[in-house]
Amino acid sequence: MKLSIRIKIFVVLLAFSLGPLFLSRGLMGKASGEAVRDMSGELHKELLFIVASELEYNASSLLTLLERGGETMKLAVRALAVDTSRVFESKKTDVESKIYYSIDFADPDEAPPDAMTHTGYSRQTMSGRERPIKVSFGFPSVHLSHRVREKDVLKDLQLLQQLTPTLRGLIQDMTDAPFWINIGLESGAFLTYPGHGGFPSMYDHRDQDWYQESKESNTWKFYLTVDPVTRATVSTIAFPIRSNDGTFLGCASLDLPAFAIMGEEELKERWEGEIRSFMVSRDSAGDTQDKGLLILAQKDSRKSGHRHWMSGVEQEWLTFDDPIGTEVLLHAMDMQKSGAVPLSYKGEDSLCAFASNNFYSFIIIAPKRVVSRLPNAVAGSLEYLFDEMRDISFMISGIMLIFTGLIAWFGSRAITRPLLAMTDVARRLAGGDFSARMTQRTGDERDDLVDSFNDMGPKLKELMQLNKDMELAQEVQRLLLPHSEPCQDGFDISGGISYCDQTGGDYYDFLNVKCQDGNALGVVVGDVSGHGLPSAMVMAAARGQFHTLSKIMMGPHERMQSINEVLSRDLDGTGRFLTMFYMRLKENDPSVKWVRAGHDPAIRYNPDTDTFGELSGEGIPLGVLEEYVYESNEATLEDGEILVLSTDGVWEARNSEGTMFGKKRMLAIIRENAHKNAEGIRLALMDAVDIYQANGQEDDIAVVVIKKISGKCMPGDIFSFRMTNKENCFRCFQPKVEAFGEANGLPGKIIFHLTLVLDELITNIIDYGYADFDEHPIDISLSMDGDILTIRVEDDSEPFNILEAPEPELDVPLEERDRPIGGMGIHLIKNMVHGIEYEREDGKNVLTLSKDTSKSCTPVKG
Amino acid sequence: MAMNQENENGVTILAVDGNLDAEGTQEMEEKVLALLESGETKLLFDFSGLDYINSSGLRVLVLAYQRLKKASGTVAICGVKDYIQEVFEVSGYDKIFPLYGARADALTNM
Repeated sequence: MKLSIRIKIFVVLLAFSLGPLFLSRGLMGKASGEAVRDMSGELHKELLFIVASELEYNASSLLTLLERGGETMKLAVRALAVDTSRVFESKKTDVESKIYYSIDFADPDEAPPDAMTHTGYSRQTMSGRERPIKVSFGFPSVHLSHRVREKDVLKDLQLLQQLTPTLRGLIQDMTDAPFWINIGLESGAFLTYPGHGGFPSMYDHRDQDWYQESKESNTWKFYLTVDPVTRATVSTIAFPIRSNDGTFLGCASLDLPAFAIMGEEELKERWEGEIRSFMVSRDSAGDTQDKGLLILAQKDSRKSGHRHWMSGVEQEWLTFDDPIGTEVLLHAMDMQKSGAVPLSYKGEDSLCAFASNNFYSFIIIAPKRVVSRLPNAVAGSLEYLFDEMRDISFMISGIMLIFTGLIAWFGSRAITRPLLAMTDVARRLAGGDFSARMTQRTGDERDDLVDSFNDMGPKLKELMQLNKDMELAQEVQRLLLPHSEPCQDGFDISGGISYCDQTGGDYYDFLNVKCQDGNALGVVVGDVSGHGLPSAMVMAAARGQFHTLSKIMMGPHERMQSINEVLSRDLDGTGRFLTMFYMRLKENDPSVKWVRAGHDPAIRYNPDTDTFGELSGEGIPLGVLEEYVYESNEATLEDGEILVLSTDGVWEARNSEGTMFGKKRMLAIIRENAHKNAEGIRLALMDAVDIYQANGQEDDIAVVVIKKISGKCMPGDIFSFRMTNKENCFRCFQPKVEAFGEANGLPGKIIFHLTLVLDELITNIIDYGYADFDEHPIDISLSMDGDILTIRVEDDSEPFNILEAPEPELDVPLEERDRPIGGMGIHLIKNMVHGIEYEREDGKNVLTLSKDTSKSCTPVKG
Repeated sequence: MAMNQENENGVTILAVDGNLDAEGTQEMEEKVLALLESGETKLLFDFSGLDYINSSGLRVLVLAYQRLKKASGTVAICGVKDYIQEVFEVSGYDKIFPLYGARADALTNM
């Protein structure tokens, strides 16, 4: 997929601006997320620990309170016992005060004046409801069981009346909880404060465990009992009352509802409900599986089921859901004074805190969800805060994304717009619209580019024009060169040229000139100073002169002189000049004449004697001095003698090391190839120079080889030329074939056959023969021997034998052929010639075709 | 190479003068393809001025023949020089292309 540059720049800008942003955001987010998670986790743990410690502390402080409360109660009970004993010692009776009996409370007229219902003092009915009972804080009341007669105990009662102030005073030290302070005597008298009624008539304190046990005891004792009036479970502290001589008089006791000492109200306030507290005793005798902890007191004692004072307190055990947790708790309670253990209670994960003294333990059970409410809330708010921060960060990132995106988008447009405009202009320029202009300015270095672009159009136009002109000039120059080798009896002549620029200043020509004896052949080799177009033009002017004068009879030096006069006038002041070697050959005449106008002498080689010589002579270059007088030179050639006329491009050719080709090399090549015909020698020389200057041709090269032969010139005897696979095939060889045909007087039809055969052959080689894209030579030679026309094609393409090529399916109708068109070229070739030979020699395909020009077509059979 | 296009009685006449060398053939191919594209069904090649044709040139004629055959069209050739007629005969294409002497003959027969 092709992405536009704008998208690419956009992406790059975006990546460079947003990449670091997102990276840092991502890293920070990750780090802070981890930090918050760690922190909230730690915090949660810490807080849970603190809360657990607090719960433990609660348990401990409640225990302390309980102990302290117990101490207070113990002191109160003890003080009361002591006071009672003292009252009995004094034997002072109070007969004034009215004695209120518990039964009096049933009748409002008999009840003490301050008797009224009071918060906390209530009785649980058999149907489970709470019914308030009237109590009197002003007066104690007396309960007598049905076994006791009033008169038997009246004296004791009158003694006890003296304790009323003491009892009232004790209130000050007591808790707000409903309680009873009782004095039970051996006589059966039972005084209770605050005064209240509602005692069952059966109730006799002397039957109670706590009373009977204190008879034997000298210290206080703690009991759980069921209050006969309120039917609530109460903690009873009893202390024996003894006279000075130790006689057991009775028992002072204090009843406090078990729940009242639990302090659960405060706990609930602190923990927002759902908390349970227990006062337990560790009963080592019990079954630890489910009976390890005997509940002494719990908040809802009075609510759990119906109780009766006679049946006493049912033993209740504190149990947990999970035995392992229970074991852990029991173990902890054995080892520590206080602590907290997590375990499941009534199907809920809870935290159990305990505090123990030697007698009992205080246990608080709080559900985990209650305990961890604060830690959760704190950790939650921390995470919420982080989430909030993250959201804000995301929002800011989003805004930055949009913002950066917009900047990148418009930025990329700003960057690419001139670029796209340039592309457009470049495309228009490439399309040939040289008027394409850019009007945009960027105000920076790109303006230089814009200017260059704007300058490019006209310059390109100029260049294109120049190029076209050069092509034209090249074509003109090619046309100015001889199309075919000249035919002059007694001489074998070949000429060739190789330009280093498209057009050059080197020149060779053959022309028929008039001389005293009739017609002769003029051979010209020239070299204009410099190369390129201007030199080519000077060359063209000189050539024009030669051809114009060719019809006029004059000697070689006169011809040169005339040309010099014109060129000197034309070139005056330009500094340009040209050197020239002109030679005149007469038919079957070994005597040759030449004029040397500043050109290098022609090389002369006699293979019979193996001697080199020069055709030299005096003369300055043309175009320098108008009135200069040239002179002709004359020499006689032996048969087989070779003359080489060339330009300095040959010996001044340089190899990659800068060494010149030199004349010695040139002479060696001439000697080596002297047995060949003129063309063979020329090609050998030019190929050697071409190979030598591997770095590229620096100067034009023109070479003409003249070989003196004894026989007639065989026009087209061997007519050969070289072309390459890079040339326009048809245009390259067609004029040559035409010239060959005309020279040999071939009929138009034969020339057509020859052209078609070469066209098909060469097209085939060029189209299918090469595996690379390099330039390759194709050598073609044509010769006539009587009526037999021989065509020889040499190429270094892939091996291909035309004789093995499949025939087109001519018998099959066109529509049904597998290859309706292919192979037709080869088929045509085979039908235009009479003999085909193929050889592969030295990496070359050598194809020799023969054609009997006297016959009409006869197809060659494979 | 020069080409001249005329239209007579629904027949597109393409007169080709000069040499059908590689360049000329390419030019003619482009021309023929354009004509086929524009929906011409009757093509007459007037080769009275044609001096040279090679197998590539024949290929273009075959191409026109094949395309037009599908569209029930016709291709005819008139005025070929004798040596070029020989090429048609050698290639066997004289069997698929009606070859006429004069242009008028061709037009009356198409």
